[in-house]
Amino acid sequence: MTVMRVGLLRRVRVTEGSTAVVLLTALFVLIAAVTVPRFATTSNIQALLLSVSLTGIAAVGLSLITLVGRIFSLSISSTVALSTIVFAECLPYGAWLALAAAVGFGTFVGWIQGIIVGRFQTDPIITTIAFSAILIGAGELATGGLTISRGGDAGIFSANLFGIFPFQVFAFVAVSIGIAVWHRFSVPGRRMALVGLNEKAALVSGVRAWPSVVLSFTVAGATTGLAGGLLSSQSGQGNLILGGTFGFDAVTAVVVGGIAVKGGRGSPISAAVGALFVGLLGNVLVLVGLTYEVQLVVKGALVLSAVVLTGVASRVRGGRSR
Amino acid sequence: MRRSGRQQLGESQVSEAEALLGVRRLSKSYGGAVALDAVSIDFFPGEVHALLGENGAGKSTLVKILAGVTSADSGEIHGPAYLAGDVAMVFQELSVVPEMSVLDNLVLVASGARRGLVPYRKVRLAARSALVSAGLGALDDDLPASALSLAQQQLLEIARGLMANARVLILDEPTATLSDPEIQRIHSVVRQLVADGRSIVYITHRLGEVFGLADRITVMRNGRVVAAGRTTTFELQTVIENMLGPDHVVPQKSDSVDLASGTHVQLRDASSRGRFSDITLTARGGEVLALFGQIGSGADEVVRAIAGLAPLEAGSFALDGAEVGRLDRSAAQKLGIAYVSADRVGEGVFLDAPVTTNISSGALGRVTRFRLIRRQLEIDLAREIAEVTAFDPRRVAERVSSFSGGNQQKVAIGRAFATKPRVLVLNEPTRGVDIGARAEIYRSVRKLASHNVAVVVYTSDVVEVRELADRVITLYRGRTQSVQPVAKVTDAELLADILGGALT
Repeated sequence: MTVMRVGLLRRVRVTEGSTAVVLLTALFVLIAAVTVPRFATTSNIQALLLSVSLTGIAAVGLSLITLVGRIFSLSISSTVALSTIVFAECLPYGAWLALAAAVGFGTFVGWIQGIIVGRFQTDPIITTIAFSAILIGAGELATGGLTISRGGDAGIFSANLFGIFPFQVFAFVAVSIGIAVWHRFSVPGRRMALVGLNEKAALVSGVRAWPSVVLSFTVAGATTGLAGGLLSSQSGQGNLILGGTFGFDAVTAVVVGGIAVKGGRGSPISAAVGALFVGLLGNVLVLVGLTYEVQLVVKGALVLSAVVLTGVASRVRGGRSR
Repeated sequence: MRRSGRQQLGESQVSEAEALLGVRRLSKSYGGAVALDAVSIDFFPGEVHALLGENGAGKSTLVKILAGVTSADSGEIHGPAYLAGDVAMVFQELSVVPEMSVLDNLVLVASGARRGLVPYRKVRLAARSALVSAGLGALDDDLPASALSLAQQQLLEIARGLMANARVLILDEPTATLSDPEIQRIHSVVRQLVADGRSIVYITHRLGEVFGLADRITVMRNGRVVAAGRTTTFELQTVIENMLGPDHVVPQKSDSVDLASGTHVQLRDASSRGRFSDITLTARGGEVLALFGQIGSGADEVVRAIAGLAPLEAGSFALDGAEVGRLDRSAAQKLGIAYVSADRVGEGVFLDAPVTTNISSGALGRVTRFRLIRRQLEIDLAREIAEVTAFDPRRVAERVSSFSGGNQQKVAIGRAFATKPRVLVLNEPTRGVDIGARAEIYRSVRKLASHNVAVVVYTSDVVEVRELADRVITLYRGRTQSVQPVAKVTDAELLADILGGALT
């Protein structure tokens, strides 16, 4: 019996955790379309994609940190919050410039954390928590806790491309595919994967860990800044309370997407699918009339079960390799 | 054998007691490889029983069976100690937890039997007596284990074995990493333990200590007992001959290449404190240079230094005559120095990745076109390397974790080959690899060497020196003992060199 069970798990593993999530998501859409009355309407699908896009962008960047073996960044929320302020401050000088400023800010913040975690080999969780505190504190000092609204027009970022495709959704798709392709086919992307798979073995091949770590944090910072800028563009305002749920949602997306928390295996595209799945779940829960609190419980339970499942899968794998 | 009659023995004046533990016709094989072939041995109380043999002779399989870590395919184990589960094993690798106190290290073992709270007072008493028996009675048991010397840690390891008050204690190379005065300390503890009526199974590669310590010797080779008896019936030469076997042939080496013109690596007066000192060597393209020494001799640290994984504190390193300053692993790789680690699972391969990713990991430039990694190029490269290092080219898309140890090692070596190195550094390249794969690995390394690649290999296995190397440097405690062409030196001389002072 044990043999049978192991065999089954092996086959699941071969098809990759991410494939399982894709299938699950597709199944979920099908069931929802049939059973939930207002699900399959254009406006609902549009609202769903919009709600998923920004956390999805942040999650895809975050997944690089996970893939390089540095678990998570817990400064996503605070970076998003400060990026909204940067965006709002710069908006009078033009929407694109404001967006570039938000991305630039996120990139810089990510780069510094990458240097600390990579060069000084600090614990990523503790480092990013500390950084989060610094960011929020500095933001409070700069804004006095007030909403920043300097005027300017960010309308182009809420326009629909080709009539139906919201700009944010377009950005989400472009970022996901772009980063996934870069991770899969570029030399720096491959180095990240090697470091995540086995840091010592990578060093034997002359691939040092820290440049990959710095790179992953920098790109994650850029996507987080992008998410913050686009979030701010919806209202033209910046505020420290914006983006509060981004951190948890991005982590949820990475874990549910099936990316191994210990690093190496998986693709950033899995995080995008994970974000879609979590958004879908939340959307359906709202449609069937469940409250925000219940949604939170469901999301938490989802993360736990995903972590347990990947744990079981890796133990099966570990048992075979020894 | 001579128990009927219970006659007095001339040399010991003690009648031979009943064996505490024994095995009869014990056999075990892994896959097709026979590890133990009808082995019969008895272990008597009050005796130190030395178990000798080359790597792969079957010693570790035997003691693993005795300790209940693995089971035999056939044969029987008997004796009062076995029936009572009274056998404890002290492993070669230290397993003390450095951050924990001496006491807690002992509690760790004791609490294994019962879950829940640790009965501290009771355990403390047991720990105290174990420490006294292990010669650590004077030690403050609240000290962290990391504060102890290597020898004390080894003794603590023995104390852990004594916690269960085992009557048979298996010591696997307890002195491999120790210096002479420390070895003496271990010996006196071991003598005290047998004086209390215990039986000690003692595995060692230091033949010198065997004659001073052991009451009885069993020599194993290829899974069989080839010689057994009281220590007084042996001489060093007979032990070595028995270990190596009669049909120990020297394989034909490729003819000498023009050595003057090719690649060469030079170390001059290289030192690294506590590891090795004043090492001078030259490795030339076309030849395989072996550094031969025991574990802890510093020879492995020398090859790690050449690969850029350990810094040199003094001396110089030159490649093709040009001096290289700071050499880290990444810089070494760029200079064309490839490395194959002794730690296959830890750093030799990427277990969770397919063969293709493993092979291309050090040679990403060879699998890119327009700066993008091409899957087809990776597959082609992996197949090309598979031909050279003799693993199945049809399996290049499979994950390395599904491979056997020997095939994993071929992938680890393939990673180095794929970089087209000028210098190939190997650290124990066939540790834990079966005979067939071993021969294929030797062949592929020799072939690479013939293409003007300088190969430097660390090994602790004299057979490997024979079959792989052209020249051999022996090391003992971080210093060069001799530099000789392999063809002009006997195994016995080599072993004597790496055992250094322990022989005299």
